[in-house]
Amino acid sequence: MIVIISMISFFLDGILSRYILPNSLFLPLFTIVSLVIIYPYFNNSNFRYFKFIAIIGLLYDIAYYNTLFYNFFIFLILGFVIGLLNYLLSNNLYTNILITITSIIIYRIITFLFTIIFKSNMYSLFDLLKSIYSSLILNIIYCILIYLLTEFYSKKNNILRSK
Amino acid sequence: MYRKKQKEKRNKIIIICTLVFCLIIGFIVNILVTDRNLTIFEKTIKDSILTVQKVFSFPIDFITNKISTNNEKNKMYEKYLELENQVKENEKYKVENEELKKQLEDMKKLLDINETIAEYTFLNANVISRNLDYWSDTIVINKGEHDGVTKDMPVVIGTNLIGKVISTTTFNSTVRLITATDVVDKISVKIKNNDSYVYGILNGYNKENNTYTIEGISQSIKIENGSTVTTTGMGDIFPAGIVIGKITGINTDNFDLSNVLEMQSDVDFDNINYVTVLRRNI
Repeated sequence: MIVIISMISFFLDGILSRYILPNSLFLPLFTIVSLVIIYPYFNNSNFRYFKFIAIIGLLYDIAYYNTLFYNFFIFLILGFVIGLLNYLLSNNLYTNILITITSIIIYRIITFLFTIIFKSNMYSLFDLLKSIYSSLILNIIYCILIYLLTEFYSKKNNILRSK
Repeated sequence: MYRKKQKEKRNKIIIICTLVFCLIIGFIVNILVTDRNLTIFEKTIKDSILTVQKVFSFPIDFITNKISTNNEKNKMYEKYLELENQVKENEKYKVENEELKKQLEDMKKLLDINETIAEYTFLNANVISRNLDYWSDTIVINKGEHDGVTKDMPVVIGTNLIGKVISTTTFNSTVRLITATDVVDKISVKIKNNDSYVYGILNGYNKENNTYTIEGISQSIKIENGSTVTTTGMGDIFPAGIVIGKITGINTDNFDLSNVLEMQSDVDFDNINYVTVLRRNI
């Protein structure tokens, strides 16, 4: 199930990028949402989780960014944050939404800092804010949908996951 | 003696720290480079992922194409009348074009020139996906090395320049749009001013106003709004005569020494589905 969720989210990111305008309020970051949703299914095996998201990060780099080890590192940082928040909070729909929002904000801030420091200084804090709020709506909806689906499926098939 | 040793030790630590810091910065800059040549391993993975993506997006493409075809059918008669008028006008241009082609061929023979900087061949492509990175502006097209696409080839829509190829795989290519703010290449352009041309440099894109800046034009030259901006063909990348946009505003630089022109493109960069890659002959 972990692989299916991740792969669907990964390919949806690429497919939707063609249909959703770059200036719209519905920018997809489904792969990051999937990182949040799949965490409890690793049953506190952090090493396996980090190995998995490192591979996803590397594929994300090659397929969508033309870079190497850029998203790889960012995804590992996000994995650490997701693990920490899951340790502090109990696992339910609301905390999943909260962790998704936090992950998106961290992802946007890190990529923004990398861009203005090493690539272009033509962006302002307003652009950063815009990039964050335009990524929230669609991804929260996706988070709710995928959480409910996985919850239903794991209960039906008695799949173990950390609480 | 002890102090000297301590000082040497401290110096060594400082040198090592500086080296490590430089290496980290170098590594970060290196991983952020997007217009590099991909390794065979990366090309294979990217091609495989994009092939799967094409299969997944096929039903969506099919439905959207059906809807747009239906919409087109409804407007068919209006378009027919419009095209009829255009065909009449085109006859005139066709005769003129043939005459100019003949003259050009004669001149080439006279001067013993094989090809000019304005000659190129066309390669049509579909857009597969757009950038996921919020801070860059790229598209991925379904033509790659297999079809003869190489790095730095210009990409157009109709007659308007939209960007250049920054990396290729066997079956796909990534194109950086000219709206990207991290563009490092400056494009040499000419602006039609009455019967002559004024030369300048396209230097960046302003996201807020959706305009480009053209610099390097003397203040004594008067340019009218609406003048067409085309590429000059100078430099290795863009052939001559590709339309980039039209002048929408004229300002002066901070020192009041030269004109800074504002230009707007005719292309709707939010709606790019089909593009053409230009292969320069010279």
